[in-house]
Amino acid sequence: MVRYSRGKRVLWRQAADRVLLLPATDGELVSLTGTGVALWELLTEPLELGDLSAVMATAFDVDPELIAADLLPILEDLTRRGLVEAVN
Amino acid sequence: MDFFGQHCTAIAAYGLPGALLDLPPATLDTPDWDRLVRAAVAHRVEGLLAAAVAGGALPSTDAQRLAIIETHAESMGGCLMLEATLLRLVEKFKKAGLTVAVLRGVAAAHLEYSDPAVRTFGDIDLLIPPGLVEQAAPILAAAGLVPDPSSLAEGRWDPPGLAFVDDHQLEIDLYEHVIGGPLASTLPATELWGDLSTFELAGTSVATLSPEVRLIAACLRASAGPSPRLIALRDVVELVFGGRVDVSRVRQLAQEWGLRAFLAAAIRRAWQTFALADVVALSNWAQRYHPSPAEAELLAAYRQPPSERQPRRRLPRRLLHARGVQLGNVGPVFRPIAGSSNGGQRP
Repeated sequence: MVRYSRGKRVLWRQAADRVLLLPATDGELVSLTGTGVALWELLTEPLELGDLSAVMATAFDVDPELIAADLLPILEDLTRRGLVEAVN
Repeated sequence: MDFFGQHCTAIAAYGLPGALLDLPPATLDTPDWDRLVRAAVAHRVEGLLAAAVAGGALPSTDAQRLAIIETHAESMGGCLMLEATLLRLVEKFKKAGLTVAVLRGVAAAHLEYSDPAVRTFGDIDLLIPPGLVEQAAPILAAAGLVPDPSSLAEGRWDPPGLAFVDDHQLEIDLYEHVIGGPLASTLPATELWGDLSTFELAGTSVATLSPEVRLIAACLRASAGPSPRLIALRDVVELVFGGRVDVSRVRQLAQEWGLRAFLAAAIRRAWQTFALADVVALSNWAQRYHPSPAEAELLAAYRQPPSERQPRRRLPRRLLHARGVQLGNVGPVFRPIAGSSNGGQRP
């Protein structure tokens, strides 16, 4: 199973309602808002999609499967951008 | 101090233990709010302003709150871009076998403040070993930076430096010292390299000065001119309160380098400006320190207003290639965010 965590070569800052991320090597500045901020906070340790979904489902009182369906493309996008690491 | 000066100072003191300054008790009207935000940005304390609003300590309308969030986000975006540039340069310097130490804003953000988002900065300041500017300059050129031929006139005691800018007008300044003028002779630049610290930035180890030398350098900046930036004073307080500075060591270094009066004066100035009630060993020593007549004279000279400043001595002219670099605002630059992940629309 794939586990996701914050990229090691990522510069970031957290503000009141968002997290700004920038790959240290090369890339674009990205802003995470809403539940994206909670996602970034969870990614301090490697977690599988199921674990991430379970925690966020509890926090936001939403069905875990619905959360997982939302999270997967976001995690894949952040991984492509070099902001998140995905390891098997 | 005027109305905005008082409020801006209170903002700069936000979160400090024992600070006795009051933030505005009620929301400000739009013109006053806008003026306050501009003052905060000028003093580099917009991060503290945003924190005070987010913490509920500074009353604001919804529109004002959203506006300061955006202002702060813009500053932070600029800081991230500067840090990315810094890391690229650190790697190039490392490959060239050249040690550089990062000064001021970046180091302060990551070492002196519990949340780096609170401490914004508008450029990168790098200290290079004396006599190695000619080695350093081509490395910056290879990284796509060009010298800024019209270095701004700074205070008469500022160290000589060389500014470089990139395509986004992000500014990197090279220095061989942390102080200029006659004080530089009492503090040989080589002494600054005796005991470096490091911090981690996106997985890369970045060198900076030791906590004691950082405090002395911060005190020199906070002593300069009649009205230093509030963030310079805040940096002094963060260093004094932070627990990293060896009090005996910093006093010993200040004595060896003939800078005790500056160390004491800056700490006193910071404590008075922020009306700090808490007393620690260094603030107690600073309050009790009496400069000699010669020290008092030098302190007074150091605090001369900008109208009496002289152009700073430039580094070797052959390194300045006039390419018609467009000078403009080299403050924080926020490149439009091309990608944004909302994290889903679900609550």
